[in-house]
Parts: sequence; structure tokens; C-alpha cells
Amino acid sequence: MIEIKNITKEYFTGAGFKISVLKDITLKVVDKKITSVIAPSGSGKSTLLKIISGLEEPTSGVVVNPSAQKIILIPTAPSSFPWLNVFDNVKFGLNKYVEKQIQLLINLVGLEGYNTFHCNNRSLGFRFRISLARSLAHNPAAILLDEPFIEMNTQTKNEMLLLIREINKTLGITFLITTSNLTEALFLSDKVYLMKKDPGEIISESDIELSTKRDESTYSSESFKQLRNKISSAFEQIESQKLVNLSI
Amino acid sequence: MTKENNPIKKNLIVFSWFMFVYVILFEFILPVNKVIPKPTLLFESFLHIWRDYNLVFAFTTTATIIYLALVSSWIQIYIGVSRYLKYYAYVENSLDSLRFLKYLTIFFFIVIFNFWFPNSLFAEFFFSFIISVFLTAKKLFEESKKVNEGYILVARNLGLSSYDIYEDVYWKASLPALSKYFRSVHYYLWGVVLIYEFIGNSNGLGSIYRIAITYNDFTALFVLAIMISLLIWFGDYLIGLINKKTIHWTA
Repeated sequence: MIEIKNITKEYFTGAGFKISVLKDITLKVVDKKITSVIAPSGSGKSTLLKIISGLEEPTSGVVVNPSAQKIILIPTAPSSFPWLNVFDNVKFGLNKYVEKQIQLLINLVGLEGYNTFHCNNRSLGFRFRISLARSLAHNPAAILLDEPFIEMNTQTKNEMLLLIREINKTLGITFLITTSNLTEALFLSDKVYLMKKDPGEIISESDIELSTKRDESTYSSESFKQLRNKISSAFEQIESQKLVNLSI
Repeated sequence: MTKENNPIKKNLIVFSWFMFVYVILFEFILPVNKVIPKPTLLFESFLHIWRDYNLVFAFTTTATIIYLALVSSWIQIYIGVSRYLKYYAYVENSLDSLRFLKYLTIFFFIVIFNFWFPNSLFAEFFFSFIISVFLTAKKLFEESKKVNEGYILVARNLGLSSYDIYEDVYWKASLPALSKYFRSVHYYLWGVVLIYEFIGNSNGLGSIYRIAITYNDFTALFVLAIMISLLIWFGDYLIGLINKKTIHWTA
């Protein structure tokens, strides 16, 4: 389990004003589960993930990763390299690799037969699949997804949601996802944290008590609707609730 | 592509019209003038100029200097990309203070190089090489600031060293814009080298221009211009072809 303990991030503007981005963030990313942080835009979600993945230093607090494996971040912007083909993208950053394993990962994310294809000008879904396979190739302690579906169309987004669930269940991969979309977070997650903005601060956490087998019918189920109402009401307590997207 | 939109056909039609007007105007209506030479005179000059001005040697000298400078500057940038980008981050602010140099103009540097190293082919090559490296590196620095943050985050997150990130991410992401810009470097270098040779008055096509002006050889100026433009066109076509075959992505 990765533990994020009392993370605070502050910085000074050019004019000398102190800006507090994250305040005392504490959360647990449970092994083999999908955890989401739901927060409005501009609340410091990306900063939080950069700190957890070691790309940025917090002002105070620690990230405890008991395993020796890396925590891999998939940023919002497409991050598969357009100058490499699918196979080379997936093995990017590996000093040693087994070709068969790379192939298995490519097949797992649904890119079988696309080894020599380049991702240039291809859909966001295609590029996301590559990023996912590349992250899996590093045998990560957890994969962090920063607003992964924000620019995807509904069909692609639904495919990716199911793919992440499948990878989580079949390979036992731990995911931490940040999103401003409540519906996709509830669909995906086993646990959600709600975070407010100015500064980014966790205001509540909930376990998602839905069936582990989820498909498109989950959205219309009574339990899903009740859960969504319950969590969105938590946001109604604070000013930033309007910024949380409730659409599917 | 429809028949009407065929750009080659369109260009051929425009060119044929241009030639027709040129022949009619300057062969028959204004055969003696100081604006554009008579077509038959131009055609005859195409044959004589090679022998009269030792053009083969001049062409070989100028083209070798330009293309050798271009190729070696590209290799230099490619090999040293990580160092260039790393040190640029350190010296970026100091370089800003050297901006005043641009007001001296390239002409001054050409003159002073000719003054320091008269009649030196190596100095001419070295000057062209420096100009080519400077322009390409400048573009590389500009492009490196525009690289998608996602690529850099991923590379850092996967544990690549800063040198690997410069080579595998910054360089690759900058290549499409850089290779496009390299065509401009090619044009620019032709201009610079011709002026260099014109001022130096010892080697290459630039010095031939100077001789032609000295002898008041009006037709030779045009023949040279046509030959040089054909060579530049061919060089540009070749660079474009290499870009098309090797750089298939947009960053």
C-alpha cells in the first residue's frame, strides 16, 4: 500500500506571495485496487500525482512506497512518442526486456497487430493504450492516471474505463486516478477521495460498494445513482462543487 | 488530385507563358537593353561560360563548401545535442546579453573573416559551418522549449538520465520543425557563401560574379543566376526528400 502522508505544497509567486496548492493531503492507495481523487479543475490534482510519482518535491510530508517498484504516471496530454512505433513505445525506458512479454502487453491493451504502427495523428484512445502498456512493462507499484479521459469521446472513454477495470482485475495492478468527473470515478473505483480547491485538501473518503463486475448497465443501476447523489451532496457543502462534472 | 489542380501542370503552363513573353519581348521587340539579355545570347552564353570563367571548378568549390558545412553542422548538432541543450540552460541569460551582435549584421562578419583569412578555402568552410551550426542550434533551443510536457514527464518518470532525455525526447520532438527550418538554413547559406566569395574575390561562384561585373558581362550574370538557382532548387528538393523519407511524425 502506498501511503501519502501530510503532503503540503506551497510556492512563491514572482511578486513574493505564497500560494498554497496542496494542504495536508493524506490518503492511502490500496494494493490491487483502484482509488480515485475527485476534485474540481485547478485544485492541484496534477501536482499531487507528480509528487507521488517523485517528479516533484513536496514542501512537507512524505510518500511511502514500501515496494522497490516504480510509481508510473500517465499525464493528461498524450504521452506516447509519435516518432516510435507501438512496440518501441512500449519498451521505452527498459534496459532489458523480453519480447514476448512486451507482445503480451500490447495484446492485453487491444493493440494486437499494431506493433509497427506509429501513433502520430491517431486517436487519443490508441495513444492511451500505448501509455498503459508502457506503464505495465515497468512492472509498477501503481499507475497514476491524471485526468485520463478528459478529451476522449464517450465511446472511447467507456472502452478505456472497461480496459482499466480489466487490467486491475486480471493483473492486480494498483491504480490512482485523478478526475473531475464523478461518474467515471465511481464507475472505476473501489475507493474515492473528495478534494476541494484553494488549497487542495481532502474533505472526505468513501468506499465504493458496487458489484466488482461493472459494465454500461452499472450507470443506470439504483445503487450507482444513490452513491452518486450521496457523494455529490458532499460537494454541495463547499463552493467548488459546481466545478465537478456529473456527466457520464 | 483532379487534373485541373495538378500543380506540376499549372507550373508548366505559367512557365511556358513566361518564356513565351520573354522570347517575344526581348528577342524581337527589345533585343538591345540593359534589363534582361536576349534569349539567343543567353543560350550561347550557357555554352561559353564554362570555359571562359572556369565554372566547373567554381561550382565544385562553392557547392562543396555549402553542402559540407550543412552536413557537418547537422552531424555536429546531432552528436552534441545533449551537451548543447544542457549548456544552453546554463548560458541562456548570458547569451541574451550578446544580442547586440545582431546589429553588426552578417555582412560585417563576412568582411572581417575575409580580412583575417584572405584567400582561404578552409576559412570559408569554417565560416559557413559556424553560421549553419549557429542557425540550427538556435532553432533547436527554440523548439526545445515547446516540447510537450507529457513526453518529458514520462521520460523522467521512467528513470531516463538527463542526457537520454535530451537525445530521445527533446531532439526527436524538435526534429520535424528543425528539419523544415534546415531548408531555410540552406537558402541562407547559399546567400552568405556567395557574398563571402564575392568580397574575397578568390574562389567560387561569388568571385565569378565579381569578374563578370568587372568585365561588364551582362549575360553571364543571368546565366550564373539560372545555374545557381537550379543547384539551390536541386539541393532544396534533396533536403525535402530526405525529410519526407525520415521524419514521418509531428510533435
